Amino acid sequence: MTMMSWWAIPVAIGLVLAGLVVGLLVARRRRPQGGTPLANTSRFLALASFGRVVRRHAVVQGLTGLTVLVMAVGATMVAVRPAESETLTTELASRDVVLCLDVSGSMIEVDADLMSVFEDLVKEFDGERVGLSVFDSSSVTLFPLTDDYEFLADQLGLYAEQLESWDWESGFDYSGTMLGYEYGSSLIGDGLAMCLDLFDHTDQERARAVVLATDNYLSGAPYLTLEQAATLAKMSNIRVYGIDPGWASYYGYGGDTVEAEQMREACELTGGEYYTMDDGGTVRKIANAILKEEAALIESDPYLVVYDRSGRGVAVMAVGLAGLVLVQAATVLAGRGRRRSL
Amino acid sequence: MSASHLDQVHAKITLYAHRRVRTVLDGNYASIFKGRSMEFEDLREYTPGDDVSDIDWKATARSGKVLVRRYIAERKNNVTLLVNTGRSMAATAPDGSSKAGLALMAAGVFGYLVLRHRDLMAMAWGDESGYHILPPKGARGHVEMILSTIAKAATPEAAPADLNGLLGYASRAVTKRGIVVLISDDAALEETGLAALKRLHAQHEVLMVSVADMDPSALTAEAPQDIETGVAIPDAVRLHPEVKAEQAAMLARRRAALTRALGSEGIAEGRIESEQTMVHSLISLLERHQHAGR
Repeated sequence: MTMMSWWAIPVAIGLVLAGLVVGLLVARRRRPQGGTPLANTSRFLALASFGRVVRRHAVVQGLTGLTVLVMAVGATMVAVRPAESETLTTELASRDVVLCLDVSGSMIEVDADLMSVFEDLVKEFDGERVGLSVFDSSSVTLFPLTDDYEFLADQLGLYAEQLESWDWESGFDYSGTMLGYEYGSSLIGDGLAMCLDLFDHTDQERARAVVLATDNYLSGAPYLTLEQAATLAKMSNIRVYGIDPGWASYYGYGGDTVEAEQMREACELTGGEYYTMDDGGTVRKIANAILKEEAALIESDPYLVVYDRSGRGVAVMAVGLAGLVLVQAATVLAGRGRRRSL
Repeated sequence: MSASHLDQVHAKITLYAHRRVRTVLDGNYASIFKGRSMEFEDLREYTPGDDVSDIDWKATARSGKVLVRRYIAERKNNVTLLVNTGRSMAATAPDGSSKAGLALMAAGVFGYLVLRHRDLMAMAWGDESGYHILPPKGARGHVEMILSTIAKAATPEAAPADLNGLLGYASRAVTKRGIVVLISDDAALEETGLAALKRLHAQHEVLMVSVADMDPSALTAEAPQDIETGVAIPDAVRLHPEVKAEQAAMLARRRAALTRALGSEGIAEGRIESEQTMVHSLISLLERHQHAGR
């Protein structure tokens, strides 16, 4: 608790003292000037009721003075601007993550893992927003960016379950992802571009990231290549984190394939990272790594936040005012009662 | 103060009292001395104010007119004013005027009567700073001087009044027998004062004229102050219903106590509250004095 205007205290004390001095001077000056002279008043002044009423007036005036003093104290408490300060770093609340999943047959397993991992992760989120878009021949937004975590966990869980229960016989079709399949499937550049389109509030300073899960096996002719889409992302200051299941090495092609190399370049162009599963990594580890990376990026310099804490002063003033009203009301009511009884 | 207090008093008497009333006043004053040092002179027609006991019933029956006996004073009567001057007499009366003015007019009415009846007037007065006495004389100038002495002695600059001390002084200093008219205010009559008053009444005949004090709980003007101490009497307190009620009860109690104390001594008291009602108050006082059982 600090006082931002500590000098208000001596000012307030000075004002109260000045008021008292002026009041006393005025009272003293007023006294000797000729009121109607009365004689033989000693018996009147000695009346029991006279003393009683004088004491009562003294009490009322004392209480009135007290309430005014309380209000002055409250006003002083407001005037010194008591404040609390707190050192803050930017919260993660301004982070948007779009899951951009290639749902071509080769990616189903990774997608399912990613969704269940995010289903867990969103439970710890506070303020971050998550969106989900899937693509194959065409792109479908399953849900836009949202911080309704109950909804997110629900949906992610549902999709993960659907993906896990997928098999080649029943086939898998996310409605809308196969539109225009005659022009090709796994159109990764187009899919990523569509994901970039999910980010809103472009006027706000937010950390924006795409988690792009794809093996980068293109079969068809996209409008945009992965590199072009990555350039778009970079222009919008969106980082793309790639997750590659690494089938190439899995199937023993060995080394970095052209596709893997393209994807790494694309991710690094945007300032993101490229992960491959064949480092023995799990989707969970990768997801955590991505979030950590993002957190490190967006964490700004700590800054001081100062909150005014005038509430107590206002409360004291309110108490004083209430007291004053009570005292005056009681006086008026007492006077009225007397008049009625007479 | 203008040249003649007596002229002013006379103007006020004629202003506030009808001629008939003035005749009554005259008659009442004359009858104070009835039966003492007076000789029968002749008969004249009855006028209102004449003592009914002065009516000569036989002469009335013979003539068919109501006739009263007239007396002639064998010697001049002494009227001694005993005026409780001092600071408190300069305070306010119930009509808002100065008590000094009322006291002066009361003294003036007696001065006017004394001069009309060719009697003598003396005065004793004083306050805490000292007491004084002027011998009985019948000259207009003497009465005039008595009045201007009162005017000078009843001012806010004067010393505090001391009724009981003045009574003690007067009981020793007033030696010439006659009527003593005590002009005081609502100052408390203490045991010593009452004892002195009894001594005076044994030697003379005492009448008491009380110039009423303004009741602090009845004053409508703002912020009065005590003339002795200068201390302000707060309006909010003095006008408070509780205070008013207790004051009214106390005043009634005190008036009754004073009336009882004076009545048991056979001393009549008249209370003066304004110039308008003064002549009537004095007439009533003189009548009650006649019936006070001397």
